[in-house]
Amino acid sequence: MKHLTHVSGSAAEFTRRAVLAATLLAVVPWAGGPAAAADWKPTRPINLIVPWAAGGATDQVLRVVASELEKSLGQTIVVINQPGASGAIGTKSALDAARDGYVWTGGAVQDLGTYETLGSVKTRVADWNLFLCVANVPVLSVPAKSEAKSAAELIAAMKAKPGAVKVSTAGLTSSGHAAMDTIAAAAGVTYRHVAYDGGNPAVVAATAGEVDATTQLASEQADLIRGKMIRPLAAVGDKPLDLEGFGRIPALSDTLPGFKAPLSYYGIFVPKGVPAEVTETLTRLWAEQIAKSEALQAFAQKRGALFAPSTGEAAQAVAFPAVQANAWSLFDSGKAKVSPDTVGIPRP
Amino acid sequence: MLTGLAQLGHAYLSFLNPLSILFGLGGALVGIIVGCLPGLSATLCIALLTTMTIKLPANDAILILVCSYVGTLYGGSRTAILLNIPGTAANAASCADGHALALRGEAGRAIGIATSGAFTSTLIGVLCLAAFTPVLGNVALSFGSFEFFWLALFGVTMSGTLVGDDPLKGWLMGLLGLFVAQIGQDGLYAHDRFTFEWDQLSGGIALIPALVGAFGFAEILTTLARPKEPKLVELKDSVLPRFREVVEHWPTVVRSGLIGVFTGLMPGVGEDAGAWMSYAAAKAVSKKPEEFGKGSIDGLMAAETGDMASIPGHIIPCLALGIPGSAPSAVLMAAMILHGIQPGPMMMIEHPEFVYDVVAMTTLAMFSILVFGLFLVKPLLLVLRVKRTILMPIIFVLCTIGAFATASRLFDVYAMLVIGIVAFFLRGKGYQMAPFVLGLVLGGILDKNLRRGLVLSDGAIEPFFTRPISMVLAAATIFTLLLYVPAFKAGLRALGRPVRRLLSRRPVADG
Amino acid sequence: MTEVPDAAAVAPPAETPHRSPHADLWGGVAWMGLAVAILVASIRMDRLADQDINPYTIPGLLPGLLSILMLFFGSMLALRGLLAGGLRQRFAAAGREAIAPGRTLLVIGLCAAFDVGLVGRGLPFWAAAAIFVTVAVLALERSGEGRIGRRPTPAAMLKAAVIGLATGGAVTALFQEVFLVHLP
Repeated sequence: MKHLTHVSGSAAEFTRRAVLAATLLAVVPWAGGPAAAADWKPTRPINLIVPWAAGGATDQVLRVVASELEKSLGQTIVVINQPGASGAIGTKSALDAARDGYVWTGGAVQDLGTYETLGSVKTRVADWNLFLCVANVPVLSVPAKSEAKSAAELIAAMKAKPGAVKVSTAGLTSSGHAAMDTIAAAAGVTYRHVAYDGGNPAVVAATAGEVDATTQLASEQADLIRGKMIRPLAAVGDKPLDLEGFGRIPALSDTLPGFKAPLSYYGIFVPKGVPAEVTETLTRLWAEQIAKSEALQAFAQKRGALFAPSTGEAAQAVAFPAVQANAWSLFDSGKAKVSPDTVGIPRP
Repeated sequence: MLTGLAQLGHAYLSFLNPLSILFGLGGALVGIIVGCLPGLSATLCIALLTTMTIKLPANDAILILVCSYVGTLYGGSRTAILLNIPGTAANAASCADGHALALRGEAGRAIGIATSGAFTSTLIGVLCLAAFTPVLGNVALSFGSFEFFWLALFGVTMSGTLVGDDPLKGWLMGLLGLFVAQIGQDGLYAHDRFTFEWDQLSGGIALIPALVGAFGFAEILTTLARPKEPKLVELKDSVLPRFREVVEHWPTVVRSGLIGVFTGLMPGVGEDAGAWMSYAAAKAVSKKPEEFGKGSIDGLMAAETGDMASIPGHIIPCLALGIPGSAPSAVLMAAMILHGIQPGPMMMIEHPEFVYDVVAMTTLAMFSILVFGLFLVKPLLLVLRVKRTILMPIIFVLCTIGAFATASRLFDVYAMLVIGIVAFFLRGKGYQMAPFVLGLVLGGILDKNLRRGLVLSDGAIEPFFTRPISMVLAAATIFTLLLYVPAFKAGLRALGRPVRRLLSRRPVADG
Repeated sequence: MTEVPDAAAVAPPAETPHRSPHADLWGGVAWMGLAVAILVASIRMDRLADQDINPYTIPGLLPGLLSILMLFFGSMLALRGLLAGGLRQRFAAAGREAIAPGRTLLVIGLCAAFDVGLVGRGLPFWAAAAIFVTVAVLALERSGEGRIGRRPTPAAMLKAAVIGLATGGAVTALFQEVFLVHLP
């Protein structure tokens, strides 16, 4: 485990090792974990602050996790939707709450990692205990009636008319936008960014043909893909994606050789400084319950997400590449106010 | 079609057991009580019940949620009629006429109208739900950014003429609401607007605290500022629903029901818009528009029919496309996902029976509110018999919780306080709060869709006028505005006179 | 009918003197002032040029358009007041429903003190609610008609305290334990 705590070698090496370690942890269920930890028995309902609106991608996955945890904790988990300021408001109130273990938040780690560079909340990923459960993959899709039949054709269209192909995402800070920026940089093209209120509206705009393509998460596109209302061209990354009820979506690296994009991890965040038995109990529950949760596995399979539970240092390591990529992409586009360098996020 | 009918029949039979009926009645009762309490929204009620019913089987849990959804909107009309405070946002349109009727000693009649209107409109909505959900695919998809821009603008234009007699003040309040909606991070670039570097303000002014302030706190102030203790509205007459009145007002009921379902189909346009649009439509075609706001049966019927019919309207795009039509239906959708039912285009393939289950649930909800409308009106009204100097501080405590509960932010409580005080003074000067709230609801839609539309068209404004639905909405907006230009109105009358003479075949008095 | 003011609060009938030319004139001027302030702020708002955004989507676009409309309608209101003689008729608003300014300030003060001073300051919500309701009931009873300045009897104080404690307890129990709402 020690080799994970300090960066040695290239960033790619770091990522590879982190993924390896996370995989190992998932396969060998916490062999050396703190099994004999003091048990935490919550005496009142726990508040889980979801910093996004009800019904969105973050809300959906966190509610499933909450209901799974309720069973084993024997206590109600009250989900509080506290949306606003791209998740900053909800995150800040979880950070400001008493560190008694009764206030949690959650969502995508890459959002959590960029608040400080955006100048909205002074917090770093290292200030939190991460309990991750799924990873989401962006998918490059076009409307069902689009002329582009493959990623290569769409990229060719972007080359032919610079800045004319309209791509919908959930906004500047979204993983969809980060994915499209990575594609544009790798393929050397420009596009017209159209921001929507969230992942679902962005995908619906692509379905309706208001835009030419979208790069939102597979989980937000899954149903429309299965319903043949939107055509997936490629999974944004170097691995193909298998979606239940549809089949295999090829990897974008087939079209753009050597293309890589970090995965975006989702889970529950508990601020550091809470009593040790809280984190120990949660770590144990993650190993014993969440890692085997059928509900979560079914949820992941249905939504085209990867079921990838992890905690502690392994979670920090596995989620960090996406934080790096997102923070630097925001800084390079002029959106972030503070250089990621100065807040502990080195350039990938 | 035949398999659909068979599935519908099967769904109805499956809910005809004591436990389901008990769950339905329980959900509706909780909904009605929450709806009666000002500031507690349907969203809050469904969200709380979702966490409470998580252990139940999917169908029972969703049944309770659907019944409570219908119950909150119905319960909200009580408070609107007897206290002049809308129990939920959707009941704001019922305040004017419902409370005026109550002041005339016809509170029971008003509640009866609300009950029968709610029952009939849910019936209309259920029929649409059963008929359209399976075939609906592209109605919502043909609404793009340009159409949403016009829809929001049209809504605000109508707000000027909805309540009161001074369109100028109405439009000013509508503009103020639109402006307040711009405060905070903008929807496209998360750029802080008008926040004065205050991080709490960058989250914007949330709708629920604003509503609780503008309608709840301002009403407390108005009531208490007058030294005389006014007579509490007594419920003297019978609350039995008068279905005869539904029959007499059938054009209003059918029109409002269809408007409610239609506005429900539009994503982001809430139940309140359904109520206001039906109300405005009823006022526009009424032979006695001057009675609106002073106890018009037509007005109350339109408002209560419009908001209740929009519930099934909201559920249609939710089930068929996986796009919730409103905040409560978004929570309802999240609850369905939690229970392993994924709404969306695949639903008719994967769980075709579930659409009909929801139809059956809504039907059960409709009968549940009828039961409570008939038998449990008076016990629920005991709270209103308390002296106002005692009742109002208690209601203020509930307003504080209501402002705080949805997001657990103290900032929302302060926003409620400030908006309430400002609303109180503006009301004293003859300004209406309803256009302000409508502006607040539509402000985000207007801003994002205008700018998004301009990105899509690369700065050209033609698509705002040339796309078919845009064209209709633009024409309707401009026509509504022109109605207030005297010369245009006079010209229209001159044109209309021969037509009306032809139609009515009797002399028409010039007006 | 004494109930007429209630109806007026919601939908003023045409005959109530809300259309005071004086109020229209100065109300219109106030709207114009607000509109100009918003317009200036919108024009000076960051165009996000360094983020290379589409120039049609600057954040100040819609607020600026709204302020122009507000300026237009505000000037219409002011003009209407001016043409109706708003400068001459100073006291046209007289005869409106009687509002006791002292009592209004008392209610605002009580409510603001509760939300700002008691709620979310570490005090349990039931205690905050109990104190507020007790004090508010006593203060409002005292300021009522014909009772101004009269000292509350011990019985009245006891009654108020019971109502306050009952409200605090019942509301907290209902919301915290049954509805699971997070209370300040």
